[in-house]
Amino acid sequence: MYNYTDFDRAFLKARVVQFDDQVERRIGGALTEDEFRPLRLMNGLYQLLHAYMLRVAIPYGTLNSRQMHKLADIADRWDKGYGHFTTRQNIQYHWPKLRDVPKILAALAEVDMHAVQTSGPCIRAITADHLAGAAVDELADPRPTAELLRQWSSDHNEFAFLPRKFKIAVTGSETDRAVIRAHDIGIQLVQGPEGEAGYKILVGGGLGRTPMIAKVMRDFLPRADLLPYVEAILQVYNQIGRRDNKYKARIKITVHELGIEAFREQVEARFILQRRHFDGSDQTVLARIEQDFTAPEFLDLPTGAFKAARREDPAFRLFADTNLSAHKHDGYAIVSVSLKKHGATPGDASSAQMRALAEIAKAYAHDELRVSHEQNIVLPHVPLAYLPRVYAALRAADLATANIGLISDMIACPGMDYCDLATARSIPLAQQIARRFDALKLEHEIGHLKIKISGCVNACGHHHVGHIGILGLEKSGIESYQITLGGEAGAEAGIGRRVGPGFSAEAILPAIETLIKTYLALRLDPDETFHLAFQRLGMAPFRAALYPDAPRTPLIKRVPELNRQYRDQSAQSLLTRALKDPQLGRTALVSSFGAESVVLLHLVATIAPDTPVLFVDTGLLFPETLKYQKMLAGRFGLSDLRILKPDRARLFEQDPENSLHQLDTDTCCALRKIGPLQEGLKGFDAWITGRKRYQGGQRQALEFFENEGDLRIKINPLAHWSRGDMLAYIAKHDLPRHPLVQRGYPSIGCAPCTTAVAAGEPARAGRWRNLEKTECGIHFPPKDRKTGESAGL
Amino acid sequence: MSVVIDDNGFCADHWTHGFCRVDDLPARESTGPLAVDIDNDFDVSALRERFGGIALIRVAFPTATDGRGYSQARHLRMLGYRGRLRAAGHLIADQYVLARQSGFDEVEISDSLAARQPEAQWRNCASRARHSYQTLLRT
Repeated sequence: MYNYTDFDRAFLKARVVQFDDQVERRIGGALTEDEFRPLRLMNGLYQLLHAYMLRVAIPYGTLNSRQMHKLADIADRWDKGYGHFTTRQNIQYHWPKLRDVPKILAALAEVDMHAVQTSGPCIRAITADHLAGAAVDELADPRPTAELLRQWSSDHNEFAFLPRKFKIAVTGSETDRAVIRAHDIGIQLVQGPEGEAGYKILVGGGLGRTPMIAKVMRDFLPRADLLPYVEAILQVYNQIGRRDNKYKARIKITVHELGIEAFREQVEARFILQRRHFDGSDQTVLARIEQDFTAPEFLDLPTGAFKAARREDPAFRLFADTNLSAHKHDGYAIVSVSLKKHGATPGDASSAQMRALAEIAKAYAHDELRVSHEQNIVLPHVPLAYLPRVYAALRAADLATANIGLISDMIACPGMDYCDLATARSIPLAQQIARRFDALKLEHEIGHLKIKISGCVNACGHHHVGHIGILGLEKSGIESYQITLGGEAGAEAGIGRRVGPGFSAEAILPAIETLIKTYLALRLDPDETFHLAFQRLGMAPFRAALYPDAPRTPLIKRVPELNRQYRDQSAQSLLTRALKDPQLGRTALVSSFGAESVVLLHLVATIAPDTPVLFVDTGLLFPETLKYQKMLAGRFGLSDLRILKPDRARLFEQDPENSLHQLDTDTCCALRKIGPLQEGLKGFDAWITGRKRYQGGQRQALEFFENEGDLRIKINPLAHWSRGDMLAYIAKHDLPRHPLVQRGYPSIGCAPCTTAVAAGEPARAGRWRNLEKTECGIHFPPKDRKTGESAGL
Repeated sequence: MSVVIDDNGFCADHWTHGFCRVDDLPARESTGPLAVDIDNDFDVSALRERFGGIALIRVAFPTATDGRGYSQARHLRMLGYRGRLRAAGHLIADQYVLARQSGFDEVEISDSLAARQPEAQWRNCASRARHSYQTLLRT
């Protein structure tokens, strides 16, 4: 940890005296409110809805037990006994009295802490990867760089009155836990071509009402050039950043409007001038800072107690499997302590909890704690040997919730309950979501999922980069919540897209539940997280689930999309998902109970035996077919079998003697088969067929999904199966065959129009033998049939 | 009238030769030392060729919350300007140190502002200059 120097302490002391004096001058009238406001903000003091709020800096989220104890003492003495850890790795006290603030600042200074630049139009408290110094994938600890930047930016003469606030984040890993791509400047520690230390510099990221992903300024900047380069960026921004409109004043807009190339050109020109003024003293300071961040002396302790506890105590196992991350030193773990107990306010900790954390850190974790931007507390260095004791102590403090990275581990801004900018509540919604999924006991099954909630467009809850983002707005006095999907905060950072119209306060929780259930129904396996599933599937299934009554896109457009989503899936996988897919709606299986029908019937029966199964009894079927149908329906437990028959009046009119097939097979098929099926399919959005590519003809190009005009979707789960696959499946599950198969009927239709097939003939050669007809017309209209050489149902 | 403040406190304006707008500068080629007024969105690198003939540059601070002038001063100094630099307009006592560290020599404020923020407050704020991280890290 960084050890304060005499200079640092003198700086802080002077700062407290200065703020005291500023308060006096404000009260005396020497400073107007407009003049005082930025001074107050630069000392972390906000005026909020109900009271003042003091935001205390925890630089790059690192603190020791002594500091955590002090935060607890402040909460007890000058606040209501708790504090709120924020997405900026800071802590906020929401109820201090103005006259107590200088006392709080003095108390903080006793433990080398402050509230400097946690607000105001200046360079804000620097953030860094909360797993710094412990993560396995780390190139180097980002905190010395963050500390150098903290010192450089503290009370910077030139940058105290920027166009707008300015946020810098630093990471030492490729896995971007510091979300550098959503910062005004993002810095990643990298190696140059010769292995030399340096930085990748990003600029112009940010969320708020115009979310943008940062752009690369420099792929590699030598280490010694950091401060002059960052100073050059700030100097250009300070001069050309917009001040006419506060919504366009962040550097992301400057970069966006000017273009990254033109912006870079200006910065590089300024950088050349700046560099002359850095004589290496900053590098001397950095070297000294780095000494403070050497790793603790890791212990080598036996891990038996950990393994035993994990084996024997299911609650401990759940905690260990959910809240631990790999540590770079063997025999150690990184413990994330959730401040998101189901139903609690995300990020809040009581003074008792802060003290418990301080004691645990001191006793078991090398006296180090972190605040993560996800509003949790991290114990970065815990020997596995101590974990059972750490867990017991956390439990005693009500801090052992096993939900890190899960649905209830949400980021939520304070929202309308605290903030006067907010247009909707966010904390109560977070609480509802957490309670709901806890009650459903689905949290661990859902797995990794980041929900982020903002109560207004300023996006303090980072909703743009949530896998599910929720933005609370106010529309004519009523809260309305917009959902965005597909956001991501890491190295592959992306801005989520709006899924559709907003939801009322009552409808938002059911909407989230619908999204989750859609995900669970469609994911390929538990390793496919919500975000990965979204990347594969896109917006369509989620949109269809959330807005079932919205006008649908034409089938001709939806079908290629479905074929993309389901590409490469097995028949079983496809059926399992398609039967629950909101894009498909009400789905029936249509079966002839013919020679090969048993495969699809068995597949559907094992997945969802209550699927409606439509069977057309033409009145001319083989008696063996009728018998076989009854037998299979019973054996497979098909609970919604619908037998469709030709219309009696039309039958009497057109084919009273059952001889129409001798005169006109097409008319007969239309009367006895196609008509009844079309009638039976009314009310269905999709139907499943057993057609396969190997059957040849038009079927060679068969896809999983086809559209019947804009009427219905046809699903062909067996499209890619070979005859061998069919036989292997039948053998594997020991399925009963149609009795006529043994007697030389590889394809079975109505009795009068089906004959046995000789050896060497195609399977469907026995259908309408001696006629041009090859398809009954259910799948291909009669006019097309000449192109279908040997295809059919 | 206005008050000029430097490290010795409030003083009368020592410059008595008047100011010219930066737009008028080309016309004033051959006369003696000049004092130039610039707005805070002016690109100071445009003055580079004229530094030798300029004795004083006065940068306008329209409001105390508009910090562009600090970067202009720094930029001027980095470009090699050695003449006097003055921040003029709405600055408060707390900003004297910022102005000085950015390269300004002095600050000019209105009489009414000087009445509201008397000399003692400026002196008091100026005395805090020694705790600057920036001077530890660079020249």
